[in-house]
This record gives sequence, structure tokens and C-alpha cells, in this order.
Amino acid sequence: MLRILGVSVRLGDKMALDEVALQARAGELVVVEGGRGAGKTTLLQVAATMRFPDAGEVWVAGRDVTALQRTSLPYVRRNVGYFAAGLPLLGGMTVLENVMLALGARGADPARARELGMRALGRVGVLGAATRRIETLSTAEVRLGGIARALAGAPSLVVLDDPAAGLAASDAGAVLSALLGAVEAGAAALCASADGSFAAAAVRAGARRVRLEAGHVLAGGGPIGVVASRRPDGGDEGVVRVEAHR
Amino acid sequence: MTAVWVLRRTVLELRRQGWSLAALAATFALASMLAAGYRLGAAPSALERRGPPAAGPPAEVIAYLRDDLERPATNKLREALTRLPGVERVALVSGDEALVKLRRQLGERGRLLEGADDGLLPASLEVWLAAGGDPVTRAHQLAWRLQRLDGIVDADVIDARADERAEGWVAAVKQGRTLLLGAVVLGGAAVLVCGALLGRRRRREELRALLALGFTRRALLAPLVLLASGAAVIGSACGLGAVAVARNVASSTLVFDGGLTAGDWSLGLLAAIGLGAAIGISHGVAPDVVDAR
Repeated sequence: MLRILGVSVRLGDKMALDEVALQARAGELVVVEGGRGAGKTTLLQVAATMRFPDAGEVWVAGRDVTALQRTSLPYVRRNVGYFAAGLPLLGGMTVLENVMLALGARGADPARARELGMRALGRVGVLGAATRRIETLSTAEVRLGGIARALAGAPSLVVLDDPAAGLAASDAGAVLSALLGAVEAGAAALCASADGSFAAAAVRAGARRVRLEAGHVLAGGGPIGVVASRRPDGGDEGVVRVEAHR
Repeated sequence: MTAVWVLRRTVLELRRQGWSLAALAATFALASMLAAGYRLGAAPSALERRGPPAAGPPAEVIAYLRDDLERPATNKLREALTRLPGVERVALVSGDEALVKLRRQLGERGRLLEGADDGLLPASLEVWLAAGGDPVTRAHQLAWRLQRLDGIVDADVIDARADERAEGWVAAVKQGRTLLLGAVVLGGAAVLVCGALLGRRRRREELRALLALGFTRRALLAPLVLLASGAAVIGSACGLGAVAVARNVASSTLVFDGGLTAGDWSLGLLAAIGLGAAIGISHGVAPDVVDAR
């Protein structure tokens, strides 16, 4: 579902990503770990097609987005559920309206969008705040609403940038559970986390761990084609099992 | 994105950006009012339309004669006035002539006299005072004395310098009006720019979020174009409507305008409305400023 091949991104005089290769298949959760400035956010922006690399290829849903015209990008992005702190929910609207807007872009009619939106909000535990305006919510509720927006409507690729930051353990647990649900439903997921406990819990649940440092993948990126995303025994529980290779 | 979603987003944006849209409509209203007001204001005032004053005495006294005053008595009175020191000329003006003269002086407003009887004005003696000394003071003194003469019902003083003073007032009012309108426009523009700068960062983040959701640029723009067009049409209609109302009210109710046209009065009203619009715009920005705290 997601293939990143030899991607390099230069930010000023610094290489944020240097020939990074990474793959996340349908039904696979990849957790990207790394310190501050390791390139996690840049990698996720590239994966979500929100940033074009200086070199390399980025394949999403079978298409090389680096070869696409700008006008074609929205159609690729509709397959991507992306959450990042820099992508705010729209003020003056309720959380549900924000989530429905994303579903509308993905082609759902308003009634279906409402249904799916409520479901997504319920999964991350903010159903009670569904009809409240963004301005009246706590920071954590806004964050959870943003995550629900990314997960709503079962996008085929989910990209979450540090979803557990600033969340209570119970909320982080709900987010992980919702994320695993999306993976279980067949989505490929890429998740960066500076929260060690969240990453550890994700790995315990079957996620593949990728270590990024100074723009290089140190471990877990895996040569393309080596990574297995499903249980080798063919079990249909949907639990992700990954063989990390270097 | 389907038409249903475009409409839905339009309604959402209307709710979210009500103040900004009101400010936009107010700006269009102000712009259309200024354009229309300028067109009206460019018309010369009643005083300007009259052109330069005809050559005449610096001061003049008009003595209105009693209706039943016989011709010999009138001639006697005229001769007596001619002999007074400082009097240059005395002319007898019939009621009909006075009416024609009044119509001419009123210019466009002469239509107010339509249907008036020929006997509306009494016959009068026009007394021109010679230049030198203070003719206006002398004219007032003469008028005071004439009012007490038998055969004269009233006497008025015509001061040629009064027209000059009125012209000065008209010029001052027009200058003041230009300054006021300029201040309103500059103030409104400053507030709009402030609002745009304050909203820029938030808008950029929101646009990024919507692009990340897969919105095409056309889908992003459609509701905004719909709302902006609506605000422009409604604002302009309100502005032009206000101009039309102000102009009609001014021209139908003001019998004497002190030398100002209906356009001048309209512009005064429009400036006040423009000020209101600027205040409205600043209210639109106020929430951003408060949030920034």
C-alpha cells in the first residue's frame, strides 16, 4: 500500500531524510521511532503526500505520487487518513462536522458520513463531544477528534504523527485500539511516536518498529519485498505480524 | 465532491465566517456608495449652477408696497427714496416681475412655485445703495426706516457678500466631506488589512488540512466563491439602495439646501453609513484579536 523508495528530503542545509526506504502493506502497522530531529514528521509528510521528496519514489495505492500532476494528488489523498498537529480541525464547526467533511471528500453522502463519523468518534472515545464546537473542547478532545477524522471511513493508508502526545494513558489506549481496528480492516498504517510506551504497546500488538535517526532508517525499514504483513499461518484475526529486517 | 457537499460546506462557511462575510458585504456597500456618491457629488451645487453673481450693488433694499397703494403715491415714494443720500437707483418692480425674478433665482427649485398665483408677491421698490462706507449697514438702517413708512408693508436687505460667504461654506463642506470619506476609506482599508494578516496563519493551516483530506482546489474554492459573490451582490445592492434612498429623501424634503445639492447631503449620510461599515469590519476582526490574547 505504501512504498517509499530511496527518498531524500533536504530542509535548508540539512538532510531530513537520506535515501530512506520503507514499506507498509495492507493490514500492516509500522511504528516509526526516533529522537527529536530524526526526520519522523518529514517521513510521514512524504508518506501522506503532503511533501514532495527531492529524490526517490513514493508509491501510494499503486501510484507513484512523485510522478503525478498536482491536480491528481487530491484523488490519492482521499485514500490517506493523515493526522498531524499542524493540521487543525476547522474552528466554528463541531467535531462531527469536521469528521464528516473528511468523509465527504472521500465520497460519502451526508447521511453515511454522519454514521461513519459517529462511529469513528466513538472508537477514540469522544462521541460525547461530537456535537460540540471545536472552541469548547479541551486540547485532548481536539486531538482525538483529529485522529478520528484521519481514521474515519476506512482509508487504505493511515498516517498518524505522534497521536499519543499530550493524551492520558486511557485516551492513548483508545487511539491505539482504533488504529489497530483500522489495520485489522485492511489499512496500511504508519505511525510516528515519541511516546515510548505507546510505541511499545503497538509493537506488543504486532506492529513493526522502524528506527529513524538523522534521516536514516537504522532498523526495521526492511528491504522491499521482505516484509510480511500478515500472519504466515494465514490466520484472519488481523493481528499484524512483521518480520523486521535490515 | 458533489453539489450537496458544496452546498453543505457553503452553509458551514457562512456560519463560520459570518463576520468576515458581513465585512466583505459592507466593503462592497461602501465601495458602491462611494462610487455612486462621487457621481452625485460631482454635480454642481445650486449656488454653483447659478454661476457668477450678476453685476449689482453691494447691498440692496427691497421695500414691499401695500397692495392698495395708488400709482401716484408709489411714484412719490420712489422719488423721495431716489433723493436719499447714498442711494444709487430705485426701481419699481411689479408683482409679476418679482415672481419671474424669484423663479430665476431659485433655479431648479423654481418648480416649487408652480401653480402660484400671479398675485403671490406684492409690488416692490428695489433700492440700490452706492458703494463706499458700509453699504450693508446703511441698507439695514434704511430698511428699518422704510418699514415704518406708510405704504410699505415690509423691507428686506439683500447682501451680495452673503452669497460669497455661502460659497465659502459650500467649499468648506465639500472639503470636509472629502476628508471624512478619505478617512473612512483609509480606516476601513487598515482594518481589513489587519484582519487579513491576523487570519492568514489560521487560513493557511486550514487550507493545508483540507488539502490533506483530499479536497481539490476547485472544491475548496467553490463555497468561498459562492459566498463572496453573494456578499458582493448583496453589499452592492444595499449600498446603491442607500444612495437612492438618501438622494430621494434629500431632494424631496429639503426645500432650502443652503447651496448644497442633494448629492452633497447624500454624501454626508453615506459617510455616516461608511463609518458604521468600518465599525462593523472592526467587529469582524475583534474576535481574532481577542483570541490572540
